[in-house]
Amino acid sequence: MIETVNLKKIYNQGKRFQVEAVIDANVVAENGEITVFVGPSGCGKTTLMSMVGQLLTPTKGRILIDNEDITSYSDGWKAVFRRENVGFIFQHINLLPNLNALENVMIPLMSHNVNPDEFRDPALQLLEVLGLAERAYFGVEQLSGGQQQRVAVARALITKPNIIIADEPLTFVDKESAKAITDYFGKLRDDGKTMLISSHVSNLTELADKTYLMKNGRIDESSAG
Amino acid sequence: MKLEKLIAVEAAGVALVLILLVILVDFTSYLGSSNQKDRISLYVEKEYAEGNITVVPGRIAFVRFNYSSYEPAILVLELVFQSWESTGYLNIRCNNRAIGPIFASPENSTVRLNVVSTSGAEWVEPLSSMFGLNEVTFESGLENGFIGLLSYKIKLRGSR
Amino acid sequence: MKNRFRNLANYALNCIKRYKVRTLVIIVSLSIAAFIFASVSFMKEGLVREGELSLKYAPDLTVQGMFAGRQSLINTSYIYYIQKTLGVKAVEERIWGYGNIGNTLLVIVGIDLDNPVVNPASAYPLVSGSFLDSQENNSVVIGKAVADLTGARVGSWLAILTESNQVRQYKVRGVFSSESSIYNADMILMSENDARLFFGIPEGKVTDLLVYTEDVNKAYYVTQLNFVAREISELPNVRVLTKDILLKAQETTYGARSGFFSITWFTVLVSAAIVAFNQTVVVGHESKFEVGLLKALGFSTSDIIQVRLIESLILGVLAGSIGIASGIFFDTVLGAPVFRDFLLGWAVLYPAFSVPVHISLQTVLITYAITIVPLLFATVVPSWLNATVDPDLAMRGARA
Repeated sequence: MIETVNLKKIYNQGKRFQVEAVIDANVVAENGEITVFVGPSGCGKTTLMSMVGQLLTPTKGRILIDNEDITSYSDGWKAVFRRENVGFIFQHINLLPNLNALENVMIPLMSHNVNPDEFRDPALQLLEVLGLAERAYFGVEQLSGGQQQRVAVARALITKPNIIIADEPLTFVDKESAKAITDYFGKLRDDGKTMLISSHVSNLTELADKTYLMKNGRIDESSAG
Repeated sequence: MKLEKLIAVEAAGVALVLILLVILVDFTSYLGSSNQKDRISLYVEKEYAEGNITVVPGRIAFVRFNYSSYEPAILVLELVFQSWESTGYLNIRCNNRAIGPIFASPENSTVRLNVVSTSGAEWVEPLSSMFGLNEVTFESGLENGFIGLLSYKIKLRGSR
Repeated sequence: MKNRFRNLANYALNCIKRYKVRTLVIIVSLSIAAFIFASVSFMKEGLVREGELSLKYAPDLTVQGMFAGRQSLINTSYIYYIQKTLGVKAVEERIWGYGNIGNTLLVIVGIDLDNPVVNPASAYPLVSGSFLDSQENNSVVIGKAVADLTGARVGSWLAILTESNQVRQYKVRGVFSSESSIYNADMILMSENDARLFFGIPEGKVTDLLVYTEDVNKAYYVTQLNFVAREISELPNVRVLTKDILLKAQETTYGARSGFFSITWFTVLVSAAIVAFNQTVVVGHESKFEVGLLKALGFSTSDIIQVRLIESLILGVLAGSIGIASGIFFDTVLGAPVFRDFLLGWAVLYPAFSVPVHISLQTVLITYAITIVPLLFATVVPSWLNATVDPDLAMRGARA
C-alpha cells in the first residue's frame, strides 16, 4: 500500500517566485490497484507522483510504502528504492537518443548486478507484447511517438517492479498506441502490480480502481473512489 | 556571399599569390639568392676536379675549379701517387695559402687531406664576382721534393 | 558486483561512442598536450643522462682563471699551491678551446698523454683506429660527428686554418664514440703541446686545471669537495667549478629550455580541460537530462560518477598513450625536429636521428597523470553536480 500523509511541495520556498505545487495531499493507493489522478494541467499531479516515486524531495509530509516511511531516505537509499521497486513512464517519454528500442528497454538493468544478456529475450518478449517485435532494433528517431511510449512502457517493466508510476502516459500517443497501452495497464493490474497514473483527460478513469481529483495542488478528498 | 565561401575564396587567393611568387623568384635570377646552384649541403661531398699531374721540381702544376658560392666549404683532396722518380715532399697550396707539405712515398701512396678553417678566412670562395675560380697548386720542393706522377680528386663538402 | 561494474563500464563506453565530437576533441587536445610533454621530457632526461655520463670521468673540481669577470687563462704556477691543499690527490693541466667550422662549433682538447690521472682511452673508447701516442706529435683522435662533418677518416690528414691564420696539419689516428655521444661527438683530441700550438697559448698558462680529490667514503665526499673548493677559491683570479655545479648547470639549462615547452603543453592542457568541461556543460543540457533520467531508472549518484570516471579513464589513458607513443616516435625516429634544436641550444652538429632519449617510468606516469587528472575534474565534477539534484528537477530543468 502506498500512503501519503499531508504531503507538501513548495518550489522556490521563501523566494520571489514561490510556488506551492502540492498542498497537504493525503492519498491511499492499495496494492494491486490502479489509482488515477485527474486534473487540469499544472494542478500538481506530476509533482505528487514524482514525490511518491522518490524523484522529488517533499517539502513536508510523509510517504509510506507498506507502512514504512521512506520520506527521509538518503540519496543512496532512494536510488535503491527506485531500482528495486519502481518503474516510471514519463509524459515526455524520455528515451535516450542514439540507442535503439531494445537498448533503451535494457537501460535500467545497467545499475543492477545482473548480466544484461540474460534479459535480452524477456526484453524482446515485452516489445512483442506491445506490438513492437519488428522494431526492436530501430533507432528512437525511427519510431513514432506512440511507438516510443510503448518502448518506454517496456523499459519501465524490464526490472519487474511492483510499483508503476505513469505520468500522463498518453499525451503524445496516437489512438492505436493509446489503446494498446491502456489494455496493457489492465493486464498489469491483473498481474498484481500497483499503478499510479496521472491524466488531464478522463479516459483512463474507466480503468481506475480509485480516482483522485486534483486542483491547484490540492486533492479533492471527496473525489476518492 | 556566405561566410564559408568567402573564407575559401580568400584562402585560395592567398595560395595563388604565394605560388606565383615562388615561380617568379625561381625563374627570375636576380631575385633568387645568389650562388644557389653551388651551395653544398651539410655532409654532402661534391667533386669539382679530377685528373693527373706530373710533378717536376721548379714547375708549379695548378688545377682550377669553379666554386662561386660564398657558403664556407670544406676542401677534400684525394691524392694517389702513381709513380716515383723520387720520393719526397709535395707542397700544396689552395688560393695561394699553404695547406702544407705531404711526404709522398710508396708506403704513403694514397693521401686524403681534409682542409678546414676555424679562422675568419675561408679556403675556397669566389675569387672574383666575375669568374669565381679557385686554384690548387702542386709544387715539388727543390730539396727532397717528390718527382713523379700523381692523380688527384678535388672535392668540396658543405659545412652548414 | 562484477556484473554491475561491467554494466556501468559498458554504459560508459556507449557514452563515448554517442558523443563523438566531444570524444574526438578531448582525445586530440589531450594527446597534443601529452605529446609535447612526453617528447620534451624524454629528450631532457636523455640530455641530462648524457651529461651525467660525460662527467663520469670528469675531475672533481675544475679551476679556471678569471679576469674582468670573464674566464681567462690560468697560470700553471697555481698547481704548486693547489697540490698542497689538504684533500687534493692530483692536479692536471688542460688546454682546450673552441673552433668554428661553418656554423658548427667544435671543441679542441689537449690532454696530458705522459701522466694522465684518468686513462683517456677509457674515457673515449674508439670505434676505429688507435688512440694518441705520447711519442707522436701532430696526431688527433676525432669524435664521430667531426668525422661526419669533415669527411676525415682514420689515416686522413686534417689541415686546419687556425684563428691566427696559421695552417696546422694533423694525422687522424682514430675516431671515438664515447658513451656520452652528444657531448663528445664534436670533439678533437690532441696532445697538450699540440693544443697549445693550435691556440697559440704561451708557456706557463693553460685553459684550466683539473683537480682530483682523495678517495673518501661517499658520506664525506661532499664535505671534502667543498673544503677543497673553498681553499682554492682563496687564490686570486680563479673560479672553482665542482662536478655538482656542472651537472646542475646542465639540468638548469635543459630545465629552463624545457620550461618553454611546459608553458606550451600546459596551455594546451588547460584548453583541453576547458573544452572537456565546456562540452560536458554544453552537451550539458543533454547530460543533465540523462543524469536525471538515469537516476529515475535506478542509477545512484555513485553509479553516475563511476560511469564518468570510467569514461575519463578510458579517454585519458588513450590520449596519454597516443601522446607517449607519438613522443617516442617523434624523438627516436624523426629526431625531434624543431624541439631538438631549441632544447640543445648550440649549433647542432649531431646527425638528426641520434638525439639522446631516455624514457623513464616517472615521465610515463606523469604524462598519464596530466591527461587523466584534469579530465576527471572536468567531467566528474559537473556530473556530480547534476547527480545531486532531484531527478525530476534535473529532467525538467534540462528540458526547459
